[in-house]
Amino acid sequence: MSGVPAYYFLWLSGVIFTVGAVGVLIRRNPLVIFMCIELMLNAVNLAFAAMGRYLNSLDGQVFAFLVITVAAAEVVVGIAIIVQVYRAGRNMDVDELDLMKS
Amino acid sequence: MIVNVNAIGIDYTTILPELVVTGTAILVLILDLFIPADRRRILALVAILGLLGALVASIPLWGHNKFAFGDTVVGDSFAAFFNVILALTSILTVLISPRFLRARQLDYGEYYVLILAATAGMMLLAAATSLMTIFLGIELLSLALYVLSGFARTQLRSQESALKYLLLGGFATGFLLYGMALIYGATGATTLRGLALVAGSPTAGGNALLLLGIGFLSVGLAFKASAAPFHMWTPDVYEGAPTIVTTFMSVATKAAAFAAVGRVFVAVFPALQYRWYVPLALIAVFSLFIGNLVAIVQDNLKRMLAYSGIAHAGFILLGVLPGTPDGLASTLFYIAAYAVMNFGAFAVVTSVGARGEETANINYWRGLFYRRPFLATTMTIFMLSLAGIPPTVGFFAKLFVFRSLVVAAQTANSGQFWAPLIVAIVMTVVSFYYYLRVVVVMLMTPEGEVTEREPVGASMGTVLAISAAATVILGLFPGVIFDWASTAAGVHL
Repeated sequence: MSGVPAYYFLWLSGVIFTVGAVGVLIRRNPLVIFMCIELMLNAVNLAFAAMGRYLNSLDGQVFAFLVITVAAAEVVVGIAIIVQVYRAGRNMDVDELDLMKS
Repeated sequence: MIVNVNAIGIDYTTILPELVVTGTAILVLILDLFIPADRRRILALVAILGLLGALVASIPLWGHNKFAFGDTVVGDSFAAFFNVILALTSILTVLISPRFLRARQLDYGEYYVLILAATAGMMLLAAATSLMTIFLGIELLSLALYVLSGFARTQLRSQESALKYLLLGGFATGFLLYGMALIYGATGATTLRGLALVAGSPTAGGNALLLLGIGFLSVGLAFKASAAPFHMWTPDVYEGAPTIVTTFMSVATKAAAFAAVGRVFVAVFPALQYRWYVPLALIAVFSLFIGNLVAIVQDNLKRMLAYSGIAHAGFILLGVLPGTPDGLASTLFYIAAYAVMNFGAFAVVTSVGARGEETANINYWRGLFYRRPFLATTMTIFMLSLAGIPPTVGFFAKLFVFRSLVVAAQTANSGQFWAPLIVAIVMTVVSFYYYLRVVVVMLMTPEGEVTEREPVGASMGTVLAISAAATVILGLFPGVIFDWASTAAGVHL
């Protein structure tokens, strides 16, 4: 990667992050929204790894590992909750999960 | 790159409170396998003993400033102050839990494990002095709370609140982390100590990457503190989650989130105050407006208290705005006061709805004074305190925050602190309406048939009496806590 400037990676990570964030806002299936959140976290990992390389420090890569580990834990909890809602026989659409409205 | 292991500074006494709580969580998880279902009270007892242990382990941290584990955590008065608030909140929560859980057939041992795990995460957040530990603390408390919100597994509302909390919480975590990545990229540091060095340099104010990172970080933290406009999840999650969980998280999450906010903005970035003042002031003003104005039209008490919590997030944030230890002291005092009175208010809601029916609606509270005088009296004390009427602790909480803004305006000799102050005072008056409405409704003569009296349990009675007494006594003698808050607010990096 010596020939590729660091800010290329930052732009790529920014684009991936934006795709994930927009996906969270416009998709309606909770599972897909959850995947979009994972996409945002992966954009963060890319940014950390690229900046760690650019700054010649290991902290960025350590942070990326930490994020990967925590994201795995979040997936476990998240999928369990989504499955629980699905088992209740409810429509997998966040717009229809509106039992509570003021 | 060779790392000197000794230079990392392994010191387990610094994180002893967190270790004790985590150890207790694991112990409860194992004990749960061997203890028969009808004796799960033992688990609550073990959890309380562990939390008391953490409380004791926090005391030696007072007055010290011990960094450990490569400057990622610190044992100081600030962390000890929050550890005491968090441990006490958890103890009170666990005390009133067994009865509530049994009434709903939710009496599983995992509940206590999750409460302990969330507490450990919150304590870690209060002691965190690195972006990594801040992230770790936030995630530990969030993951436990996602599950706790959905703990009433078969109830659709509980499931729905867990899902909403999860998706919006994950979204906010993404922003928080991206902010951290940008800050790291701009400064090359992940520890707050390293960040403070860079942020203190004269060029930091012009570093767009750093400022953008701080902005994203603020979004993530404001979400956890349920400050507007990042509050969307709060009413639904508070309403749908089992009331006992709402009681816990409304108090503890806010305290932990503001611990991180206080440390980051007042200790790390005070030199950039002129940059972050306007965004944070806008968040505070938004929270005050949305929280107070929307709370007026709520008929569900849990939702009303959720919006009141958003409003209080605005008040608490006011103390951070000057970016000085004096302002932070008023924030800390407010958090302690809010913990006492809001816990009490939600505990009464828990108690009134102890049999599982829809009792959070304000109509159910008509004439509560005649049916359940003890509950109604304590609720009146908490409502008066939340509204900020003397001689309760809520009055002094608001007074100290307002005073810190006035002092800041005089020392800085700039008018920028007056605008949020005026909004806060006007909104305090607005808040009288919806707090006092509850009191008035409880005084009205009951309509229709009166449900039979259900005794308040001994543990719940004790917890309510303690909270109510604390609300009044701390209001009569606010100096003690404020002195502690002032000591704790002197954070150094």
